[in-house]
Amino acid sequence: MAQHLWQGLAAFGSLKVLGLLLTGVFLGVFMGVLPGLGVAMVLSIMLAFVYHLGVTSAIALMLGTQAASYFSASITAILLNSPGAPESMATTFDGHKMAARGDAGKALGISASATAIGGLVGCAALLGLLQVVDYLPNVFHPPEYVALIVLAVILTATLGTDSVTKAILSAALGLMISFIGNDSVTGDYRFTFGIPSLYGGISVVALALGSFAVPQMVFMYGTNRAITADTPGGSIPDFRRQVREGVAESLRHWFLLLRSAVIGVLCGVIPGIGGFAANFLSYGVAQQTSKNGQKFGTGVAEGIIAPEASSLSKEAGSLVPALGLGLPSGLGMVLFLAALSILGLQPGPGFTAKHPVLPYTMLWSVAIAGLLGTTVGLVAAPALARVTRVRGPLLFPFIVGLAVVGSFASDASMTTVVEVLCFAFVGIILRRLRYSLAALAVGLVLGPTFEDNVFLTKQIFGASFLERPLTVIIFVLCIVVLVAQVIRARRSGGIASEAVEEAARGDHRLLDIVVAAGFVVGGGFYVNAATHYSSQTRLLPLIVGSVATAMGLLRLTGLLVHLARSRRRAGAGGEAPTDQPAGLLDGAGIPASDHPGGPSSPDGPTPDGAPGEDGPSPDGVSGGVVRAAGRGGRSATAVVAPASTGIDQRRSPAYADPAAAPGVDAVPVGSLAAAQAPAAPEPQQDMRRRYLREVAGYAWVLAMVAAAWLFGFRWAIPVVVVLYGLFGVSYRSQRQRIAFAVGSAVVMGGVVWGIFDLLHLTYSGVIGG
Amino acid sequence: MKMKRPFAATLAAAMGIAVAGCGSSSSHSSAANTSATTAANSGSSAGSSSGSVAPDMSYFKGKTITFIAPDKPGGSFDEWSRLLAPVMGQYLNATVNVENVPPGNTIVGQNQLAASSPDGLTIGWLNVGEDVADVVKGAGGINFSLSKVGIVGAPGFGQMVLVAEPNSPYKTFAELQKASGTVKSLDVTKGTGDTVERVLLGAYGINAKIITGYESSKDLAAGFLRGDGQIAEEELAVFQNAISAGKAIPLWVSEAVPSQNPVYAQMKSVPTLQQLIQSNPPQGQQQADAVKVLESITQVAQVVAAPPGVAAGKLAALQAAMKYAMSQPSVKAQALKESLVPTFYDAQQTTQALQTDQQDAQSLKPYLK
Repeated sequence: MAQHLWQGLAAFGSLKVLGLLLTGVFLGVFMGVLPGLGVAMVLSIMLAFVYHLGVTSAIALMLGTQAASYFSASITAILLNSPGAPESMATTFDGHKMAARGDAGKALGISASATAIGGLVGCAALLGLLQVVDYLPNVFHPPEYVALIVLAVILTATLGTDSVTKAILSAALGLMISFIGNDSVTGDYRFTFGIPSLYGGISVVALALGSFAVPQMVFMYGTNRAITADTPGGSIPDFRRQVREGVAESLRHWFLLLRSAVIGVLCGVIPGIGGFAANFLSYGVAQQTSKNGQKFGTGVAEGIIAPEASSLSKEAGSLVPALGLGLPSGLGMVLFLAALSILGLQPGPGFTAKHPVLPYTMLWSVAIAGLLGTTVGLVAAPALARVTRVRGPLLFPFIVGLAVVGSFASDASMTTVVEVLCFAFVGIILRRLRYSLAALAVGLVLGPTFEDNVFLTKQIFGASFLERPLTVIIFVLCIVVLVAQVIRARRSGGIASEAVEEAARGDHRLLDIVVAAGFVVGGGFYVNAATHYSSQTRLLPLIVGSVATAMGLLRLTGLLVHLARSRRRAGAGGEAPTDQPAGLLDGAGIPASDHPGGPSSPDGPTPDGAPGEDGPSPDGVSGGVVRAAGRGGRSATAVVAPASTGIDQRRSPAYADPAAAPGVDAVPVGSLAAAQAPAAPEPQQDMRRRYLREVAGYAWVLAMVAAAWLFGFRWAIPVVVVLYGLFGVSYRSQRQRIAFAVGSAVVMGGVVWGIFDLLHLTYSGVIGG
Repeated sequence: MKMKRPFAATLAAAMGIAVAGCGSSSSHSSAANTSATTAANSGSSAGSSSGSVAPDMSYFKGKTITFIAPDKPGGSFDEWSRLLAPVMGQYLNATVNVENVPPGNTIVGQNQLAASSPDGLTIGWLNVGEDVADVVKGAGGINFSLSKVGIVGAPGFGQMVLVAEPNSPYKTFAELQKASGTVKSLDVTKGTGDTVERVLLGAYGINAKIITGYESSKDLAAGFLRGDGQIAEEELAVFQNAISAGKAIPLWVSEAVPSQNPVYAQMKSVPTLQQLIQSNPPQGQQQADAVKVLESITQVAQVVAAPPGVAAGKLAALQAAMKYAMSQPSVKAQALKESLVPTFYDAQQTTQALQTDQQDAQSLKPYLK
């Protein structure tokens, strides 16, 4: 082994190989930051050149590109809440919150160090796993896949929400969407409405761009502010110090880092689970086991370390099934295997025996590129971090334009662009109402794998799957986690807490009711459609659709009952109704004293007080109480200062996050901090203006998609960008207006034409064609 | 996942049915014959055009041709396209760009090809084998008629192989036929592999429990290696390493394996479909017809075509370019490296294959439920 390890490293003594590795690193870093396009596009272009490269050179170039892209995909996730790749979705939860707080450098430092160290841990693990590469993938059978996916869903379901009902509804929605397309058990097409583009299912790229990047831009357009306050366009103060702090923070959580890296390796080793699950699983495990679990989602270091440490280590782990079985665990690995195939190599059983040095060359490529990629990324980060100081509307045309073009480029289909538009709409509403986007994403991505393995388990094992020790262990783990979650929920107020949460956003109540009704009606239609399929094809859609309908009904009933009670109270003149400015109220029309935790508990933060329910949320609650509860589970409430207190809400750190604007993520600093530093609520008029601007923002997205559909991307995107520049943004001077309109159109025009030429894409629109 | 093999005559029939909006099996049958004949005629004229119509080579000089691969980079269509594109471009003095259109399990790419301008500057793949199965099973999606498209040629896509788990009692196909109990057979429900597996096992009366749920042929191979079932059928490339490592025993192969193949030694005594038909013909007319169709499916691979309405001279030039590319030793060598089969059916041969098999399309139906 030592000899092969050395020979693998010696390959980089060649200037050609080293040069290609460095080329890959630079390409990976700079392409990885582009939402939707990213590294897959680069790798697919590379396939054309692989013919002319040697095996070692191709490995260095392709793995170098891929390994270096992981950190850069997180840069946009942290700075813009727009993951460069679907695998960076979980990084947005805390990474972006920390950046919004003004600690972008620290967040990037944590991310870079966790990615690099995680990658090294992954490579060390790979070193051992290579010795058993032919056996390891065979350890996991369909029942283990089922159990692991259940665990993943349990761990991640409640991320981003504090309501069990909404977590279930989010996961159900993700699963329902995942059933669209070809059913690999029966071969039937489901819920495609005869649209061939849907036969292959819904695009994960569309999910990432639609539910994260586009809503973020719409919210920023609504607030008309930068991600972080102060000195727009200026540099981040003490960036280097922040980065150093971030690195130190990672090292302080060495055990979490190590554990997350191991989770990443395991997820990589299990074919079909992939990097997406690694990201969420690590985050979920960290949240469940951390003393600060309740602060997750508010910008805590552990919330960045966990997903980031698993990202590159997963890549190392995924080489095991790729080499041992020829089984890729993601698009990047698919393209890498295709390159090997072009070079006449067929990974699979016996590959490592035939080519004993190549796996070590791959290992070194991942390790070196991971380190170099994070270094290059950090060097570039101060410049990139400036985008957090740029006003949202100025970023809007670039990010939305890239999302629209990138989604089309991902599979040359207009349907994917429309999917982005739909996910954006759904994402905006669900984020505002604090549904769990994590559960939605996990359901959508892992749904097909879950269904396949449920049926494979049934066909191969029947009931005897419960005799498999590994399956039982994982299911027991599921139960333990579930019980822990229930206990935690009960301690923090349980159902009562949820009832309070329901009422927390008075001005969203109607929307909440509409969405709940949507689940009932939509779920009903879904179930009805499912009944037309064969018994095997419809089984899981029927179950999931029924659950969604039932939970939607439950939620709708609860909301209506609460509305009736609140109106009755208002009519009786007792307490103020929920949606009116309130003094010592739970921000919801429920007297603080009614709350299980009592009006003022010193015990610290609460999970349901997490990312900004009430208080300083710009959601329109024009006064109220920030609730917080400590580990003891007691709730605390704090009076939110009314606007008249004179506190400049726009300067308030708690108010600084435009992503917070939608309510879901409104209090980036954590409920306790928010309670301690009350900020003034947004006046009703400002709130309405912001909502109108958000609608206008979404209309611009719609205009871009519609124009691209009608006239093709090459002309439509620059033209819409010009129009946006002229009429969609406010400026100090007319000269600025024209300069931005022309400049942004030229940039986006160049990007669109470049991408279309590079990828030989052809779409000239229904009219343009 | 390696791509599926076509059965163009049946597709022509099926597409005729789809276009006509018919759904019953009886209408399938009558429409099948009509459409397939039209397709054959069209194909015939396309095939003959390469011989009788002068190729309009000058038209392509300096132009850009789009080659639609209906799968993602790294798929079989993509691999073949990228292999052929530069050589065809060189022959035509044109630039040939590969465009991947993967949505809809190849259907969107095929539809896009058929709907493109008939200027000869767009060619692409028709994945007719899978489409046939879909239509026979009552699925749909294709919105054009094969009788209208211009056939350019059909390269090989790799032998299909039936393998058994080393610990299973089956060491030969004959032993498999004699299996007393139910044989657990793994299957990817999409593609030609599925059609071949179901028809082969069904026509030879093998009592198999088909286990489905694998998303791709590679997932299936992984399932096979961890012991999910006793037998499995897919392209040789998928099982090549397993056969080489002694983890899969080949029982049957669709076509003879060339001597350059790394597993030639293990495969040379394995019966091909043709040998099987001769030495062990299936019992019953319907079964025999089905196996005949199977033979066609495993011989004529996916078809490169141009959209309907391309002028004969331009089509002839494209056919000549593809023939030239497929005759190049460098292309053949690279194809072998990538586990692609460098056999080639020109437009005329492809058309003949379509004509030969058009009558037996419905014989597949009992096996494709």
